[in-house]
Amino acid sequence: MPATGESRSDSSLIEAWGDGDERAATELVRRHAAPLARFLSAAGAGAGEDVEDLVQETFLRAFRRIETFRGVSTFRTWLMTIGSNLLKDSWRRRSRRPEVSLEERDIVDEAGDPQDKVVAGDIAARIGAFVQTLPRMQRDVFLLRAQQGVEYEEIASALGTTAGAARVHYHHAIKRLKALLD
Amino acid sequence: MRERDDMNEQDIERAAAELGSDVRIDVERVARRVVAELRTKAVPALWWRKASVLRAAAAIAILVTGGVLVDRIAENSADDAAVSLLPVGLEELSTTGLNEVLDSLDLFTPASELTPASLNDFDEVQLRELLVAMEG
Repeated sequence: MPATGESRSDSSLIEAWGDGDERAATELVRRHAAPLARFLSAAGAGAGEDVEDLVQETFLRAFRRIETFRGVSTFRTWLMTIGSNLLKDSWRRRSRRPEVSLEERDIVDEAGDPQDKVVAGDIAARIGAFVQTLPRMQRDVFLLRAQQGVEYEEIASALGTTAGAARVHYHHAIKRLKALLD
Repeated sequence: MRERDDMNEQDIERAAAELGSDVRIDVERVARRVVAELRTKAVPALWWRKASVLRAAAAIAILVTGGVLVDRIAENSADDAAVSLLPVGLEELSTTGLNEVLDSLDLFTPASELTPASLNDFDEVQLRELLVAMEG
């Protein structure tokens, strides 16, 4: 009995899509669209329709080039690197990076003291805004590690660098964020 | 309440882990649009990437290339043979030279099975007659 979409591995779904199985493509979107949207939003894609359009474009590009996915990183991390490239292209077309005001960032903290919520929200909003000002490699490494929990080795494979260099980028990002927050 | 100058790496990582958590997208809508778009553009482009199609194309390419090469080699061999015989007059060759030419043509193996005579049994006149007959 064949496995259902939910229980199949990414690699099995990718292979099925390579044979033209649209249900496999649908399942891959269901599985990875929300984390991809979070990553792209934090990287500066904004929210709402902008990020949804970018997520859609990322999947389209990935599915059309599925034969180039070698499995050196997970499919999700690969998607995020494609999304990051598309975001860069989008900014290049507009010839600017987005201006992000701290007031526009609305990060909600569900727990704790109301006064702490304000501070926590403020700090998260400031971090969110500062992350978008980081150099691209630092930003992608920082988000993949801190937001997505990806290991350095996989980050390095996905971004075409070494694990040691990825660690250095991460610590530079932390140092820069601390300096901006202090 | 935590002061901002108390911020350390863990605080930043904790806050970063929540980045983008307020973003909401309609995943089912994205899936529908992606599949619809793939249906119109990507699927026709996929058929030629299949391994079986690539294998067949490679086999055809090898056959065509091989056929052309064999044809050219055959043409060149015929030209070379003609060139090697024509400029040199048979009259200029000694008995040994004539024997070597005949041996190189390797035409007498079947005949040797029918007759006990070998090339060494022919005299010079007979060899010349034989070669002239072959030329004609």
